[in-house]
Parts: sequence; C-alpha cells; structure tokens
Amino acid sequence: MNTYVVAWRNIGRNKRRTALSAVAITVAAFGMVLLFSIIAGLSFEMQDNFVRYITGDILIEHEEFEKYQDINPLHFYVPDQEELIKKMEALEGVAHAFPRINFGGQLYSQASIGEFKRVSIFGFDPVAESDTMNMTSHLVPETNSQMPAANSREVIISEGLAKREGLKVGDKINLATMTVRRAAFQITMKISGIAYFDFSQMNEGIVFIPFDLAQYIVDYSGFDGAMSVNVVKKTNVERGDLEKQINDVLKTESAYQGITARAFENVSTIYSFLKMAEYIYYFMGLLFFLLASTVIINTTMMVIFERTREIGTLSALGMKGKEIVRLFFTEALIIAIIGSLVGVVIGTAMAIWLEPTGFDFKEAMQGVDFQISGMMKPKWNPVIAIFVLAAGIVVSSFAAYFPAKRASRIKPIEAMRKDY
Amino acid sequence: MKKILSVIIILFLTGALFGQTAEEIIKRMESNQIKDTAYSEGKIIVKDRFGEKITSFNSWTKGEELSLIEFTSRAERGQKILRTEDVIYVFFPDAEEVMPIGGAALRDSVVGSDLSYEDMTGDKGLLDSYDVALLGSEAIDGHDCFHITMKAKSPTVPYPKQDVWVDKKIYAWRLVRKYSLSDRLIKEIKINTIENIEGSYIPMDMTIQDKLKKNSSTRFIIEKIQFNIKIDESFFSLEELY
Repeated sequence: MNTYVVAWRNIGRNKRRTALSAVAITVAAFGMVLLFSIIAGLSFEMQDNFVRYITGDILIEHEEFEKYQDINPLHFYVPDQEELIKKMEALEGVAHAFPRINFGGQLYSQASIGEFKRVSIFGFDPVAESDTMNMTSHLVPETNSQMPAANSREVIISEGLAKREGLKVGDKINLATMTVRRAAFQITMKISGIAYFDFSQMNEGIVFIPFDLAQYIVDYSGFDGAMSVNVVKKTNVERGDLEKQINDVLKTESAYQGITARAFENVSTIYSFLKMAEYIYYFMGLLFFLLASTVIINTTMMVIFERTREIGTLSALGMKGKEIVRLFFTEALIIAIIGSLVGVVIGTAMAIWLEPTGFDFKEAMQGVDFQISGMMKPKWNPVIAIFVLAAGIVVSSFAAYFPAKRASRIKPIEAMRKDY
Repeated sequence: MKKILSVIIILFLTGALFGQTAEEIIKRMESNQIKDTAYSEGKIIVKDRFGEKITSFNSWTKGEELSLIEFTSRAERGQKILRTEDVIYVFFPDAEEVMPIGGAALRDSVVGSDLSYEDMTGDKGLLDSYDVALLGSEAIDGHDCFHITMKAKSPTVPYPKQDVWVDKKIYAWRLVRKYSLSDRLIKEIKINTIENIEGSYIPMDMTIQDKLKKNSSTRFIIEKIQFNIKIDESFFSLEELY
C-alpha cells in the first residue's frame, strides 16, 4: 500500500476539516514569519542607530566613565583625540573615526527667571560624521536650517526641543553647565538649524554643537580632549576582532592608559536584551505552532473516531499498528506542509511589502529610550522562512502522532462492535 | 564712702556685663564686621570625593546690601557675582544675559563649594531677619562665647533657624550652625582664624560644611582685606560687569 497516496486520498474525503487544520497552521506560520521579520528589523535598526548616532561600531572611552556615567564625569576623558583618531584610521579594518563630547546642561532665559530646562548637549564633528550621522540630511527644510558656520557659536537643536520651547532658527539660547574643572559656565549661542530624527532619544531636548565649541565649553581645549572616540569599521570586518586590535594599540600607548575600546554590543544593555529576547521569541514561535497544532490533534481524533470501523477492518485485513500510525501521521504531515508553505509564502510577501513603510508606533514610543524609531519595519531573510517552514511542519505533524498511536491500539473486534 | 562707691561701680559694671541682651550682642558683632566699604582677596578650597579645587577671588562690598565678587582663578573664566538690594546676579563673559538668582536658588552652591550664594554675599542685617535670644555661655576652642539662637521672622529668609557663638572678648563669631524648618542641621561654619584688621576683629579663615553632602568641606580664606576704600555706588551695577 502506498501510504502517501492513501493519505492524500483520505484528506480529500472531508475537505472542510482538512481546510480548517491547514488554515490554523497557515495563520500561525504567517504570524511567525511577520513577527520574526519585525524583530529582525528592530534589531537591524537598533544596530544601525547605535553605529550612526551613539557608539559607532567600537566605542573608545575612559574605563571609569561607564561606572559614573549617571553624573556625567567630564574628568574621565580621552586625551589627544586628534592623534588617537589618526592612529585608528591607520588600522586596516577601520573606515573612519570621530570624536564626541556629550554632556548635560540647562537652558535659561532672563525672561523666565528661575525656569531652567534640562537639555543634552551633543558635541560632534559635522565633517567627520558626514558619512555616518550626516546631520545635513536631518535638517528640517521648511525651517531655513543651515549647518553651523565654522568658528561660530551657532548650534542645531532637535525638533522636539524647538517645539517644546517655541524656538526657531535665528533665536539665541543661553546654556548653563559645568566644566571639567568643576566650574559653572554659561554661554549664549545662536540657532542655525533644527534637526529631525526618527527615534525619540535623538529628537527630544538635544542641542547639537560643533566639536570645537563643545571642547571650549567644557574646557577640554588645553589637552584636546573628547568624551569618546567612535570608530566605524569596514564592511567585511568582524567587530570583535577590531575591538581586540584597538585595545592592543591602546595598551601600548602611555598617553592612553585607562582608555578602552568596546564593541557596541558590549555597550548597550538594551541591545543585549533584544538579542536575548530573540531566542525567547523563537521559543514563543514554537509554542504558537503547538497551539495551532491543537486543531490538527482535534481533527485527527475526530477522524479516528469516525473511522474506527475502517481502522478495525484494516487491522483485521493485516495492517500492522505502525502502518496505521504512519498513515495518520502522513495525513497530518501533508496538511502541515501545505499549511506551513502557504503561511510562509503569505508572511514573506507581507514582510517584503511592508519593509519600506512599516508600522507607525511613534506615538506609543514617545519618551521611550529604546534607540529605535517608532516605525517598525520588517526585515525578511531566507533563514526566517526556512525556520518557520521547518518548525511548522515538524511541530504540526508530530502533534498528530499521539492520536495516531492511540488509533493503532484499537482492537479489530471492538472496532467492529461499535456503532458509529 | 570710697568703699561704698567702689562696690556700686563694681555692681554696675557686673550688671552691665551680664545684663547684655542678644540684640545688643548681635549689634556689637555686626558693627565689628560691617564696614562702609571693604575690599578683600582670598580663596575658596573645596574638598570632596573628586579631590581638591581652589578658586581665587576679589571682593568689594559697600554697606549691608551691595557686593561684587570677581573670580580670578583660571577655571572660572571671569565669572562675577553682583549683589544689589534684593537680587543676586551671576555674570559669565560668554553669556549675553546676566542670570538673576532669587528665592530657593540663593541656597545653590557657589563654584561647587559648601557656600551658597546667600552665604557668599553676606548674612547682613541679622536683626532685620531674625528674632534672637541669648541661651547662655559655651566655650568654643577654648574661647568663652555667648550662645545665641535666631529664629527667622519670615519664611522668605533662607535659613529658618541659626545658632551663633559670639566670642565674649572680641565680639566676633566663632561658630555658626544653620538649620532647616524641621530643625535639621544644614550647614556649620567654624572660624579657624580671627585677626585684628584696622581695629576690627575679622574672621580670616573658616571651614564650612554642608551637612547634606557626604565627604565635602570648604575652606574660605581671606588673604588681604582693606576697609573704607573709595567705591562709588555705580560700581555695583550690571553695566559694570562687562
């Protein structure tokens, strides 16, 4: 007996029941492909945002900085940043490197005595970061924004800050902060531009200032200090290898004692959690398939119930127990293959179609410090499709194994006696 | 007769000495320290968990209300504090606006020290702000002192309660403790050195501890002081800051 032919014929005997089982698996497979594509998209976006805006591929900073970062320890700086950048850019795997000085401050105005508005100051080199952050591309065109003029006290502010404080291009702002010598400092600067970023961390309460102005404000100029140096790697270079190479260089230079390099995965707790969460999502995917498989279990049991006499007859005619198991298992397998395949195809099509536009969760993500924008864009890859297809087939078909095993134990005499 | 007269004089003197009120003691202490004008140079040494920071300054005062402090150390980059009748202004050369400080901000730290803006620009006119009472005598570092307690007359006064120990011989304060409304000790100022300058006893070296901070103390040292120099009132104006 050709099990496959018989199984195929059997699943056609009750098309509605077969369709119900297949649809349940299709829905689960479709959902899993879309979910994993969205997670892949989040992971990719977070990584991209880290490299562009926060750490680069490798973050070089003082080893004590992270421990005290809540109090913004300016005295844990990277000295001679220009020399360090030259050394980094001479390494084989480095595309480019740039300095940063990030610190906190307060905006104030004589017109609003006593009202200090907390802001973050983002000191960056617009020329060195033209390939990564590319500030020019973030300027809001309708506001007549320009990049700050060289050697000026012009700054760019985030769109969120502009809206919050009613600021526009051409306005002056007064900033109060502390310097590395633990002295209070205040300065007046002029807004030359307003910038918009997709994710809220970069769009709320930030003043972007040219790096040399940031050095002057925090009083780093005397030793050419930076708070960090960010390194961007070349495409086919492993981040871990580059991290080790940079640390080897830093250890040999007496000027950079106490300065360390870390790949961004080792910097961000949130990114590490997201990578860990991926495994949890894969496990949840398997659970979803199990849930969907309860439909197959249910329909298989109903089929066995209805075909008890038939099973008894087959058994009486000499069909062995394991052949009966194989028959029902094969029926479930065919349904699982069809359901999973259709679900994966639909899920793939949906993920690819949504990739350019995504889902808009910006309102929900307001104020969430998650290094992602509010736009959730799926990022499909073949591994997702293969995993979901395999999981769907395996879990769904094996779910039918137990009722099939039970069916194989039905005694022919008892089967014949039953009225169905 | 001579004997009776001597007894009367002794009794009178004794009565005068022990009959001083807290107000009289405070008045005498303030007259010792508040001059028509004064110019001083000094430094503030701050010690905390991050190490030691030294800030140097020049200071001009006129009467009870007007004072100008110019920080001369490199780190401060020309910062100035101007006190007029009711407002304290902080000036930074890089800022186009001068920042006024009032209300609770008067208790903010100056140059990261345990001194507040209110402490720095003077606790003038104590009797205008406080009701005072004499609690008794106590020795501070071997100096016999009047112990006076002061309660603020209005809620706008930065320190609701202060205790002052005034040296009985020279009418200069040796120790000040400042308290919150709930009687919690906020600040303690201890005088290390008092010098006689042009006939007045002036605290030249003092240690201030902000009791709300851990492992932090400030030493305020006057290195040079001159009284009754010529300063025009217009010197204490916003225009003069630039």
